[in-house]
Amino acid sequence: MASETGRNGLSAASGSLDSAATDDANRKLDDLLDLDKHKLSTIPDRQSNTTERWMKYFGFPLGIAVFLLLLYMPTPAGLTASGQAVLACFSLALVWWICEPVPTYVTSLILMIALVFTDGWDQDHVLGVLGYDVIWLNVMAFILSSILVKTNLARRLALNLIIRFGHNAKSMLFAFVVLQLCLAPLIPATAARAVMTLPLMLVVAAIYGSTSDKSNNFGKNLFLQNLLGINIFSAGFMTGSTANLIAISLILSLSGEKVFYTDWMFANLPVVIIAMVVAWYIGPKLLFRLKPGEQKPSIQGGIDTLKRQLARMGKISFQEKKAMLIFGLVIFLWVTDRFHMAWFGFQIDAVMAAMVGAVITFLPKIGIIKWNEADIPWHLMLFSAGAYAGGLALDNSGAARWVIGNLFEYLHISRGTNFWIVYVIIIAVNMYSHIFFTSKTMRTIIMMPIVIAVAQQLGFPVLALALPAAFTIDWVVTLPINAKPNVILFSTGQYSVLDNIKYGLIVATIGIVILTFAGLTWFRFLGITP
Amino acid sequence: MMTKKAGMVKKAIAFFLLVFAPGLLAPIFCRELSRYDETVVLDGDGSATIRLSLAFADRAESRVLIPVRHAALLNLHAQGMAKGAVRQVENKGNYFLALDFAGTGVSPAAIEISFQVKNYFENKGASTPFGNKELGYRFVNVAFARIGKFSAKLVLPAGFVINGIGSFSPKPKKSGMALPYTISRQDGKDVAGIAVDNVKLGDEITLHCTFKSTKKSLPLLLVLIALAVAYLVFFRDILKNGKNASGPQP
Repeated sequence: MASETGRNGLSAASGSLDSAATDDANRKLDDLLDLDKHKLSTIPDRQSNTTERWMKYFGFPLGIAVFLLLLYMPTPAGLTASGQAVLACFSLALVWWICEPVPTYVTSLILMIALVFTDGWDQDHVLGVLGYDVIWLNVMAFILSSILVKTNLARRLALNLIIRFGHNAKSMLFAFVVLQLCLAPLIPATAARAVMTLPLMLVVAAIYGSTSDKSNNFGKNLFLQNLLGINIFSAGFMTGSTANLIAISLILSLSGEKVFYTDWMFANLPVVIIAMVVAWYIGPKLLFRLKPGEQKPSIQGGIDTLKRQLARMGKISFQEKKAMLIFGLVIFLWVTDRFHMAWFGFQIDAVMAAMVGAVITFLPKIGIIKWNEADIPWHLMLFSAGAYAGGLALDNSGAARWVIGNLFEYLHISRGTNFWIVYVIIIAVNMYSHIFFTSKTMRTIIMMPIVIAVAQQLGFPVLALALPAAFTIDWVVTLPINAKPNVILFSTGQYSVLDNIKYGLIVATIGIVILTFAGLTWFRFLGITP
Repeated sequence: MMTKKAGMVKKAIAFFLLVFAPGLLAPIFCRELSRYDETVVLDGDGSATIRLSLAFADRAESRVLIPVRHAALLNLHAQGMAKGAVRQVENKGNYFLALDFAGTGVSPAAIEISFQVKNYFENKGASTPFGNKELGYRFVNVAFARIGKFSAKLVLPAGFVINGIGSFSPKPKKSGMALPYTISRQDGKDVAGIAVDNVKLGDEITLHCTFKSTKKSLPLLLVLIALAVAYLVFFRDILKNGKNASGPQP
């Protein structure tokens, strides 16, 4: 009897210990998933490692040295003085964004000032960038993201996703790759895809212990792989971006060669899938190695705790349903953009669709959040505005065109050069040229006629060079300013500019290798390359 | 007192003249050029030497009028033609170079003309902020039925560099088509050029740019060097502690 009592007592004690441990785990999980505590609009105080400290220290004078060198050298032939000034300012900003001697948003403001003071771009244009659609889309994206976070819908979706696929970090990352592949043909606007998946990324990253104030390698892999996926998967489909369509129309008008939807998809979809699988593999294995603690959800009790958490959330609340409805409406408008003109008599683009959702969000009684609850990182809007001003000034002053034109001239491509040497050079120049541009459309307009002219001058089939070159248009993966999704994802503070450059450049280089290999095999089989 | 109706009639006549005048003049002036090249070599004092090189597609006319923008032309000279055979004429505020081949009896296939113009650009002080000077070129084809290949070049004085192209016409008809203007360097001088094919009667070609001295600001150079050195001296603590001395990062 006594032993029975003892056993009961022991089991009661152990039960209360279990319950205490469960409560503790739930509390920690609640704390981790409470994104109000990790607001994007609040700038966290980050510790720097030794390398970063050295980069900060020498980055400042290095940026000034590069600036002075480019500004004070004699203006090269074919480049305007304003183009030279823009190149100097942009290079200064690039060095400082990488080394971060001053915060990235301060560098952007300095870039804006420098552009005006050096006569690179006029003040009205520089200041006007804050009104560009990319900035508006950013603001709307964070408002929409806030409703998913506030209503816990993001938490519910992310928990479901993790319980299904998130037993380990790699399968979780792979699930996002597949998700982005599925979304690419449905929603051509890359920024819209970034906005849609951003809240999920935030919650999943938090469950794996990566927040904006304390990011880890899982967070870096997750956000950068999504950046790659959003952009690169657009290259798998002719309608994946407007720039693809412009490239096709340029090929048609300048060479008379017609490319069909299926031609593009059969040729390039396997290429981008292989590229993304490689990118998914090398991220956690080589570039941002996952520590043992980052391999699984950083929650005591693992997946079981997450299952309990999901059960504890109960049924979908009314507020969550409202959030789903608003977000669903925005997604519906994004997906059906090609039918708007027939339905409404006007076109609703991605920014306006997001703005419609944001307006509903703030409406009294109908809406979900108040202005103070919207988590908008304004400092990153300034970063984006400055970065965009730099990129647009490069386009506007002709500096980007001059750099690309000189690069081709420097490479001395002439008649008699082997086709495959020309092919690799064209793929490489097209691929890396994205670093100098903020707009895929502008890059396409500049690059495609050059590629077509090179093919015609050298007597090669235009399609053999122009189509593979067009396949590189959507690989805008190196800098946060290269594309709208990049700006949106960088705003989460989960990775640095240097992280982005590292992953982006390596994947772009892998892309060149895969496209070259495809040129020798798959494209040849399809009759694209000779 | 002028009635409202009379005013309307006047406006209609003015509109008619403006729109259809080139067409009405066409039979009088019309010749076809296979090539029109104009080179404007600018001097530091604001003057310019202008060289025209024309190749005729036909030899029908004995008198040719070439539109010019400037009222006073100096040292007018046409290769292979007598002095009196080339002169400047004015027609209702528009200036032309009149080439008279009647005396020679033969209309040449090509001709080279040169003349000088004072005050082609404002050389005193800057016409825009940042020490830029403005430079404009405009050609309206009111004389030739068609020009096969048109090109114009603005050669800057030594010691100046093109700051930027402000505006130009014609614009490319489609996105992706090459821009009609180029920026190059010849004999150490910056050149802004524009080339257009198939210029029809009434077509307008313009190129506006700004240019500035190649001299750079020494104070800016010194200030930035001082700033870089000061940073290395006063921000040494960055290397010692992990906290970012320059402020938090996003």
